[in-house]
Amino acid sequence: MNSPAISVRNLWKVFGPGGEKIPGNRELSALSSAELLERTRCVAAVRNLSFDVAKGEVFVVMGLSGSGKSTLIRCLTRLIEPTSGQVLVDGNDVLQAGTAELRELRRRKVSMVFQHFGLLPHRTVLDNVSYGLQIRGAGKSERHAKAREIIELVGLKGYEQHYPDQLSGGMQQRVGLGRALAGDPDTILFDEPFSALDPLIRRDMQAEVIRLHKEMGKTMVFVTHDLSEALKLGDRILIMRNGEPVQCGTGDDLVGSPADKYIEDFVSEVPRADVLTLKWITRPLADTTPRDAAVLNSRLIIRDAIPAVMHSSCPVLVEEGGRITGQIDRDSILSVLQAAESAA
Amino acid sequence: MSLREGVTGAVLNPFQSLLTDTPFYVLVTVIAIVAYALGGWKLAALTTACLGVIIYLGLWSDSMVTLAGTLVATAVVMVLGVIFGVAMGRSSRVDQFLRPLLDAGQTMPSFVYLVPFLGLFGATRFTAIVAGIIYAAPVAIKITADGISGISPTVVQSAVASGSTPWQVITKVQLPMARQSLALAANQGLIYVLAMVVVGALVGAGGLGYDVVAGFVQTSIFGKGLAAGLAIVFLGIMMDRMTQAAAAAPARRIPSKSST
Amino acid sequence: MSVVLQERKTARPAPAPVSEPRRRPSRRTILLLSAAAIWILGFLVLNGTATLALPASELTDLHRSLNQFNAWVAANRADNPLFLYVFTPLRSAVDAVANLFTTTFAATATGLRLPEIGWLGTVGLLTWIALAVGNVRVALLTAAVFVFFGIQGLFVEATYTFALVLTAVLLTLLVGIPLGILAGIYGRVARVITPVLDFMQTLPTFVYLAPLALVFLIGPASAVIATVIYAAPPVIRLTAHGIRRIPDNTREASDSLGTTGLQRLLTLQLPMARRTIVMGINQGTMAALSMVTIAALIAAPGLGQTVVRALQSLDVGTAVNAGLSIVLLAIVLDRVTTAASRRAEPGSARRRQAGPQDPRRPPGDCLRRSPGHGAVVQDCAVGGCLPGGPQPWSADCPGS
Repeated sequence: MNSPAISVRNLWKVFGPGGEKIPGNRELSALSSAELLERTRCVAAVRNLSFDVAKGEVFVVMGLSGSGKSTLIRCLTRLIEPTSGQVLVDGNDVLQAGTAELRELRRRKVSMVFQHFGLLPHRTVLDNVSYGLQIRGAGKSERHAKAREIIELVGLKGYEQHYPDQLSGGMQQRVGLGRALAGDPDTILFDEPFSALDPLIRRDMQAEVIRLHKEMGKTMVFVTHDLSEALKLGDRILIMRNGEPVQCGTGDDLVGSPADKYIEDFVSEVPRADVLTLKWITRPLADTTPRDAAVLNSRLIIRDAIPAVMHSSCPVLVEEGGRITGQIDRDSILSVLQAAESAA
Repeated sequence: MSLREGVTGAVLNPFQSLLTDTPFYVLVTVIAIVAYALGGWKLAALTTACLGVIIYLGLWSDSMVTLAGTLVATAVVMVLGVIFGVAMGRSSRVDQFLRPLLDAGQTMPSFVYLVPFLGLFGATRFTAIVAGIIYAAPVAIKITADGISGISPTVVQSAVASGSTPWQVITKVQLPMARQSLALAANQGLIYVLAMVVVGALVGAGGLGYDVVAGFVQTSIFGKGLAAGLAIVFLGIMMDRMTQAAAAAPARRIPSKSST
Repeated sequence: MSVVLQERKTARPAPAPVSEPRRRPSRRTILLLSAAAIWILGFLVLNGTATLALPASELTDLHRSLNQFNAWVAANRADNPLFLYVFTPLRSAVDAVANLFTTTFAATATGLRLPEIGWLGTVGLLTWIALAVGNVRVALLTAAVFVFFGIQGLFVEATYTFALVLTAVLLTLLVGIPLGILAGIYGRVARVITPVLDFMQTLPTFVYLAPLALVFLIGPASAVIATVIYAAPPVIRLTAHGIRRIPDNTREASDSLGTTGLQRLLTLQLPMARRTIVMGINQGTMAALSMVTIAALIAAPGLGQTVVRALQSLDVGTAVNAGLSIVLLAIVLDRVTTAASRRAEPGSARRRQAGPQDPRRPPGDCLRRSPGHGAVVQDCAVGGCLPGGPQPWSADCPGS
């Protein structure tokens, strides 16, 4: 893996009077949110956050409302000015960038999709999608040609001349997606893009994002409060609480070994068989197990392993990197399913 | 015109003489006390300063004539505002019927209002006051109606559900809750009335407006006209701030009109 | 207040005021009552003393010194630098614009009661303008009303008033819209400007006139300047409001694409605030008409002067005629600017032709006015071009 697309180090965002003093102050920065509010009338929306996003990765930031995730994603392109820290995009420090440099970054490298779409009501779909291109000075025919291409890509062909208020919520968000894609950025930021949509449409849009990610391979930073969305989309997930990182890892890391009680509560409702891989339930190899039993990869999702295990008369072997690491049997699968049953 | 004479004799003249014949120091004290009651020391100081400027301008008596006409007209405007405002706020049919009329009334220049009443009542103070009332009423009615219809329906429904008569709903729920709007209506009504009462000098309203108009016509009294213009400004500022203070004050009623 | 309300509501089932504890009169009530008592007592005891009455013809020293100031201004108008370089050029510039419109629409500079483009020209031009910014109905209304002015014999007066209103509105927009944009974008400008606007709107129309006449002499120029002062506040306020009201998320979305300040203004703020701005123009126009008629007192030509003269000579008949003309002019100005503001609403024309709930219109119904420009754009790609089969996104296509 080469250098990360986005690299965040010690990022702080403190709202309130005199907020710029807090990150440097060892005593104040250690306070909890409530104490901080009482002492300084400041709110730390993002506290000392560090993470890397690899090129082509879908990185999900998850947390409840008020956890600072929307502030965080806005700090990445300085739609909200961070208080202190470092944000590197392709190795360039965003916080040190001048106005023109920052504008260039927003125009060409990083674009964003918003929860409430943020479409311009007085412009057609075509003009909305080509807005970013117009802003950077592309000619009319050039930007319309590119916009038509994108509109087809996001599945809105035939709606070019419609206005946003003639479209359903899902279609409006397709326009928002198209607008973000039109500038051909390396990275797309999503700020709870689908939380205003109906569940059914949300599922379609999630599939759409997965499809676009596969086709175009863009780096994506995706903010959501919906755990199932996070697990579905994210290569890696960062869980935030009160502006602080709680845990960062792949979906089955979070479900399989939650860092604390908070995450445990969070993931308790998740159907574990759908998320966890065999690695989490593998037991040591027993002497009685025949060595010629069926073999499954340890990264297989448990639910997908059910038929093979249930049809096998003896325990099944688990391999990782060509080496047998253990075995699983019916009991181990049933215990996972039963745990999910009792949690629900 | 018996209506004109009746109103002039029974209301206008006594009220005007109450303002013009009382010694100025008594009135300044009274107004300052009222201002203090409504808005504290700051407002009392501002009011006294405004009155001081008016005395310095040498136009105390004329200012009191204008003030009398303005207050009488504003009182009537508020009565109209509450009656029609409540009717509009409670019934969308009344609203649909009256609103275009009020809108039309508001688009007309103030001048035009004088004309028909000049035909009816001749060139008197009464004409100017009636024109002022008609000019200012649409604003007061609209603001009151918006205040009444802006009350959350749940509150009204809960009052009805607990067995209130319509009169009780109006007096115990809707009017108290629309207090802010009523005070705003009084404030705006006052400003509109003042503008009209001054223009009414053209049809014999007297007071400061007469000084202004005369100042335009005769160069020899231009200075007095200019001073009268300034006096109108300070009178306006004083009344504007006092009604605003009444609007902001957390009281149960608006106590300004009855005692000023 | 809600506490009071609850108290009353819970009190209601019980018979009358028994359950409500009697309040002691507040300090404020006591103060107000004592003020009333002092007043009545003062009136009864000291009636007629120290009333500071000043007979109509008498002047104080202050008035005389103001008179002298007036005379001084008249004497030094020609050579005081303030007048020479500021007020007089301003006055000439405003006069020039006002003259341009009065000679075009009302009467020639030589005093001939005939507009440069002829009566028919005036009516035709104004009707065309009404059609261009509004619609057929207001255009017909305009034509009818101006013909009616002719029949009444008040054509020249009415067009004078109209020409002054037009001058004043153009100058108001020149001043008001940039100020409104600044106030809409920069909170600091708004904080400075709002108290000034509040103060200007509290002043009765009358009081602008005397000081302006002192500085700019009587005549159309000071009338126009007074009108601009009076009509600018609503334009400034509504422009600023239109820009401030744009939702944060729309602005943020535009920022995220890297707009410069100017691009944001041109592509986002002005188009989205357009309807509110045009409403401001409507309000400003009505205020301007009101002021232009009152400015007759400082010798502004037009209908106002007819009314003033008739009021002063108690000639009710003439006053009614001229008053009616003012009302009709007000109606025309209101309707035309309202029609213009309706058209300025994003997508208003489109909505009339195709309901928003039906994006898949039949192919024939594809002519549409793009909002605001009056241009007709072709949009035939919409109807029936979607492939028939079920699509992965079909769940969120209305009507599929």
